[in-house]
Amino acid sequence: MESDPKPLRPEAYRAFSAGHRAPIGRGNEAALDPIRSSVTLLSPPEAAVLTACHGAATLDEHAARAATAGVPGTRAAIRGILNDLVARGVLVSDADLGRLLAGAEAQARAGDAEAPDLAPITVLGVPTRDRPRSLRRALESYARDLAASGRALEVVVVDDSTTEALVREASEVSRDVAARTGARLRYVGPAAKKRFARELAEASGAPLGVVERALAASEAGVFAAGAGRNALLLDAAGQRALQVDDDTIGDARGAPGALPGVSARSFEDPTDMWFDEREGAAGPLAKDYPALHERLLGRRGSALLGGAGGDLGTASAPLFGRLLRGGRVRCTQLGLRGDSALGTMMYLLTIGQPSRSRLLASEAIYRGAVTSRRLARAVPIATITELDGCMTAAIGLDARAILPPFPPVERNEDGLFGAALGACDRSALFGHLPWTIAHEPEDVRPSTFELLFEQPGRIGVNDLIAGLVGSSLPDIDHETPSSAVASLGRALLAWADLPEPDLFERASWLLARRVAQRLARIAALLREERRTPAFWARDLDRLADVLRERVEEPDRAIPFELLARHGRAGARVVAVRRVREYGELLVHWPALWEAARSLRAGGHRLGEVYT
Amino acid sequence: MSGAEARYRALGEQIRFHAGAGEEVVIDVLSGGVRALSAEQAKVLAACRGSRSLDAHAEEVGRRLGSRGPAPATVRALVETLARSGLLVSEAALHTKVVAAARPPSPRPSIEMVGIPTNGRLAGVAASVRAHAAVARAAGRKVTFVIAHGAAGDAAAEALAALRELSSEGIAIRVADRAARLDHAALLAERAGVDRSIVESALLGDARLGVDTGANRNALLLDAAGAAHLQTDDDVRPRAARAPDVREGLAFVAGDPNEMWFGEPGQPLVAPEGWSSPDVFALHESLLGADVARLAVDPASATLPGAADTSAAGAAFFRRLVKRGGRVAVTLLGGAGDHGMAASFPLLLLGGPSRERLLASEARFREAFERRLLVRCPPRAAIADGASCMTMSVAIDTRGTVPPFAPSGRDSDGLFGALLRACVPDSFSAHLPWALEHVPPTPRSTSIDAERRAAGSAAPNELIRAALASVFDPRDVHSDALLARAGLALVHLASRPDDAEALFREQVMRGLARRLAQIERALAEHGRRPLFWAQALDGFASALRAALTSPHAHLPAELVAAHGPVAARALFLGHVATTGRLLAAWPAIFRAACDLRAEGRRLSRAVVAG
Repeated sequence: MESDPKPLRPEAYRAFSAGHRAPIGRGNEAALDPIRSSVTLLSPPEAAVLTACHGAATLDEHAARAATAGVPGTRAAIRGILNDLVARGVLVSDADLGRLLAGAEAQARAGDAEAPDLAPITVLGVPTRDRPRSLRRALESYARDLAASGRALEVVVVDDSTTEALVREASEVSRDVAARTGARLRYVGPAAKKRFARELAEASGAPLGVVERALAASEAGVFAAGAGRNALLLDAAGQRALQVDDDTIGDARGAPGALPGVSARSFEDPTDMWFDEREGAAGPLAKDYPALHERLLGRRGSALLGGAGGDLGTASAPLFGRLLRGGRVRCTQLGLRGDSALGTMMYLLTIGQPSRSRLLASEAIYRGAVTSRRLARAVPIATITELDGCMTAAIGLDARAILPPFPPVERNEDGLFGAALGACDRSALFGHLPWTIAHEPEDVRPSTFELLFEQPGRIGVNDLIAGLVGSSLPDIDHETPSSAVASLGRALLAWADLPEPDLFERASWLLARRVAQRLARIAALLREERRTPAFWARDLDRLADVLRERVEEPDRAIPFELLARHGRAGARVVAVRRVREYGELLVHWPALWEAARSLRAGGHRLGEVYT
Repeated sequence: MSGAEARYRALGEQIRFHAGAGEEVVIDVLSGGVRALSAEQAKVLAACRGSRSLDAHAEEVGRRLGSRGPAPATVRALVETLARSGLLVSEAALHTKVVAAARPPSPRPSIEMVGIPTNGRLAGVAASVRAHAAVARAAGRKVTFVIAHGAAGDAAAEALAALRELSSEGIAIRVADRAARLDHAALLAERAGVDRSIVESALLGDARLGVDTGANRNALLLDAAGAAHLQTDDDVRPRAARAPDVREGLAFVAGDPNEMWFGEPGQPLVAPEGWSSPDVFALHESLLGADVARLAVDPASATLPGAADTSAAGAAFFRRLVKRGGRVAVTLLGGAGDHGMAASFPLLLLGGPSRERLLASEARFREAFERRLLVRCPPRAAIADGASCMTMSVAIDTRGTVPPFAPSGRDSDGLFGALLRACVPDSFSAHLPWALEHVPPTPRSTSIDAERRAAGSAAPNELIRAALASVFDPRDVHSDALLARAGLALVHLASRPDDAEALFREQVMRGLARRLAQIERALAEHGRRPLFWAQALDGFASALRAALTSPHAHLPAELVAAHGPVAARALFLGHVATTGRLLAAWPAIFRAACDLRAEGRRLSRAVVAG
């Protein structure tokens, strides 16, 4: 389906100075181009024209947009200013940027010790817990896909089931699927994980308690997908690997209207949404699931975007910086169709175009999407971004170099993983593929429209830690990939050492900023759409009211899931403990990573092989 | 909230996030609380000033906003809402918080050591020592003088001879010279468990980066570790002038509390009868080590006449005080004579009474600018939370951790002040309304043209100070952890040269842009009057605009001039890393110095009369 590559638009121009401008009085400005490291002085008309330049466009298009945006002066005068901005290097052509990327790629290739072709992906991990029926469905579907593609790929099931009966059942399901499909399948049950933890602790010198917490759910009733993911990560250390959730089905389909080529995207969520299930499932069926990921995973962004078919899209200066540094795609993800997997459907209310038009086509579609939680969501074109939003239902991970661990417990483990990866690897890129995978949890989450207003303005514990990660960037030692991970851990430990009120005060400030951004987004959307349709505008008003109210609540920064489980005082204590535990895990993670690699080099594999 | 007479204060300095359509989400810096404000509330809050009754606030806001604001009754209601939310804080509540922050009385330090850092100006040192010794004798004090210089070889021998001569006059003299520092560096490194090269960098500096004043000051800090001491420049004499418009009382000020006074051409800066010889040690001791909350409640606890005035203290000041308590970690006396700044350009951007005094006539302006002569001190004693730190005569309470000075380059005291504020959470500085005579051995002069040519260039330590503001988040509670983290942030920054360069480039651009915007605001505010001032500012604005687009603006100009841009870049980033390593190791070095001193092992050596 993705055939003719979309060419770069050499006649397009863009500016990277947004966010790098400063007023110098009387409407004049200084503008820094962070890519070319030069400062330019802008007169008030020049500043106004530059402000109106969004993304890549021809000079005529920029001129037209500026005139439409109300920039004073005739179209010809604006065009003259644009010409001048080009001559002074404030507006850069995509052709020039393409040359810069090509230069960076040539340089990176020259210094690259690796083989030019990456080894094929050979492992697909499935973390599971107490869901043998889902597990069977997932394993059968992926095994079918692998058999059809003729790949020699091993499926690794990491089982965290909580009763002996469920463990037995998951093990039997795995054995049965292996026997019936001929897939090579490795089953890792709780006992095997415990053994692995002991071996890792011994080999790495890390405290056994830290290793056990990293790999196995230690608290009853607490969501612990991260622990299983960590076992899979360590098992895959040194190679590219895939992970899929046990409630997905291996029938990847092309996203509706998917475009060929690769595009860069910054500033906002790159995915589109569709609310008609038929549309979401109508795309062509993928013939080789791992190949979808292999297209981007582990590859340099400069190679993907700098050549034919590359489109710099809405690349920001930070993304372009990552590309120039030889950044590789460390994580790929497919879209979803079926259950949205979103923690809250509140997100739908403020989505961008064209998804918003689809959602608001009728009140029935709108309300149906919110309450059913069902949709299709994917990028419309293979996309590279620096934004670390990470949904792990169907991901690929480039574990050839160290990746940070997932937080072992609590939800949004993927969000925190993405934040840690983006922080520790300054050149990490995130790849999104224009494909969807079916997501059909057996315990379909009930939803009512009212639930929409429950979570806004609240924060989950992994969300809180991700905020602290974002505030710890200067504390990260980037001398080596391992030192980056360990130093982030030390920074989190320092956060946990703060007096409790100080920690929660800072967290509440982070939340305040986020709420302000959300309120600003709501105000902008209402203005942009002229409060139409009314049913949506009414809900946005209500959402804004809820946010305003919650941002002032004294307990606003106490993670909501902990508050529900432990009460106010207990929740604060547990939240600090979670920060500390993730910090400790990061500190010891490089040693665990190396130990896992050594164990594997010595022929030691995790779990039991079923064929 | 019906008490119309109760007074409420708009503290300012809240952190405000735009939330669209004029709304704001505001962090109340004093309480740490968060408030969502409607567009009208946000507008009214921004227009509230000072401490007044709610009625008076409403009236003042109405006057300020005029037709742009809501109706008077609405304004009154909004003001009340702001008071209820704590964004206008009642004086009574503020007082209660400050009282609660007061610590039990503790022994105050006495000054028994005077440190004089010098760059080999032996005549100045001798004069300064003799004058300070006379003051001490007159006050019945016993003080020891420690002379810190980095000279080696013949220059060191010559210095020692001069100090022996002073010693023979019955003055207790010690020397912290290069040899003494090298010996003590080994001891400190071993005791602190840090690399010796780090200690040596703190005590010896790097000649390629310019002056080593900071290294001299560090030698004094470590020599005095555990006790209070006075550091005075070798060209400062304890002959003092009171602030010309001196007032009673104690002011609590966010930022720099100093004002300036200027002389007329041909007239002495200070009339002969204006000079006196007070006990400068007692002046410093009057506030050094004092509890700031206690002072705010009762200035008489420092035997200061008059009332406390906290009207110029903002939310950040009170937050600092209320959260961690406060102690006066340094006291500073002003200067009369050469202004001691790198350039006179900042005079052009003075505000308030200092500006009026400067621009009373063109002749006075030129005299001050070109001959660099002025009196600088606060009009009354002041406690400040700012980083302003001009160390002509500074007393430092080294009973608790204080940061190091930047060992090399200009602005070592500026970095010290910034680090003190950021890394010692309970520290405040006290500024006394006295100006000591500042007499460089050769009178300095400058010109508008000469300064314009150098406009926009920053010293290495100024750039580090600016970088720290963006890469270091002072969130820890303990000084040691804060210093270590500030240091590591610099080390990490220097380890990524491209990122570091991008950061400095951005910082310099923003700094210059702020300065230019400030110039434009000042010109507009004063209607470009007087003309001679406006013309001078115009010239500087042109020069700053040119500096903005210079390809090397982000590197210290003096290093570029001396070494070329490529070597300057390497040298500067090396300096950033060295400073970072020093900060990270400093708590251990400082503790080791305290322990060694308690054991009687000091860095300085006694000078015996020859």
